Amino acid sequence: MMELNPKDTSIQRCLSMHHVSQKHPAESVHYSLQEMALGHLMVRIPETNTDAIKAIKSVIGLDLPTQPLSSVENNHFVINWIAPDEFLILTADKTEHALEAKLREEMSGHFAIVDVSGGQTVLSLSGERAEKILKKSSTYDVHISNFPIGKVVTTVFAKSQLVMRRTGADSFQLVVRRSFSDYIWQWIVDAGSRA
Amino acid sequence: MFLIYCPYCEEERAEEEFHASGEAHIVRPTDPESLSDEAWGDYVFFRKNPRGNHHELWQHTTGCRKFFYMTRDTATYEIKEIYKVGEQPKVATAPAVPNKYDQFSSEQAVKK
Repeated sequence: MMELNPKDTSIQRCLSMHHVSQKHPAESVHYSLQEMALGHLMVRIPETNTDAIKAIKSVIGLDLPTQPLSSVENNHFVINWIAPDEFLILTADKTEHALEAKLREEMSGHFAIVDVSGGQTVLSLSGERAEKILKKSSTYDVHISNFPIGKVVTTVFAKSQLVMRRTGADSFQLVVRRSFSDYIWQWIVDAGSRA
Repeated sequence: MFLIYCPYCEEERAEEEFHASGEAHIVRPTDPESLSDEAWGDYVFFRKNPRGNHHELWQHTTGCRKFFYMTRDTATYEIKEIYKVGEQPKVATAPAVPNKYDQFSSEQAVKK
């Protein structure tokens, strides 16, 4: 498995919610909201390309989550199922270029890799009120019986769209578009301000 | 609110996640150059408008973004079946209801 270390830790990724989080801080004892600096790679790969799927396994150390709405993770990576032939890989900040290069080197046949780190960002939402905030914002049934730990869904959220994944009993990862980040941040802060 | 089953996500989702893309199984002419204007016009513009079962193309736009097919009753909105691209429907469509516009177009054709 590949070990990835950020080359230059002096440069910070520009967090798209930096300003809005200062203007509208998510300060609550009931929930916690943070933007996570991560690298995002979108991989398109047909299930028939078994060689390339094996190559992903050798680089990342994880089998592709072919079961719909599932995800897999280890200490370095998360792979989210997006569609039958589409997967979102999350990796540590500034390691996405090295990972993409390594994947391209190892994979063969028909596939596509796109670095989408610039277009979307990840919010970490947790706390006793986290599930309630999601219930106010999305039509998706986020009760743990329908949305267990590790499940990932792309759905409507606050008149926008996101990819959400449950990481714990009351913690979630939300992948949102950067262009919507101010709006989504303020929506969550507002939804979290009332029980 | 409708719940629609996505055959790729393999679960029911809210109607607002989906987009209807009209009549399904419209076959593209293999040799467009040799078509008459009327036949090309039929292919591009004219759609069936049945009262009853209708084969439709839908997309799970805010989900997996995959296209799939649905047989839906246009009178009752009941969804009869959902099947993936590449599969064939089991439920037949209702016959198209003739209307005054059909008559109009055939009159126009006679005049030509």
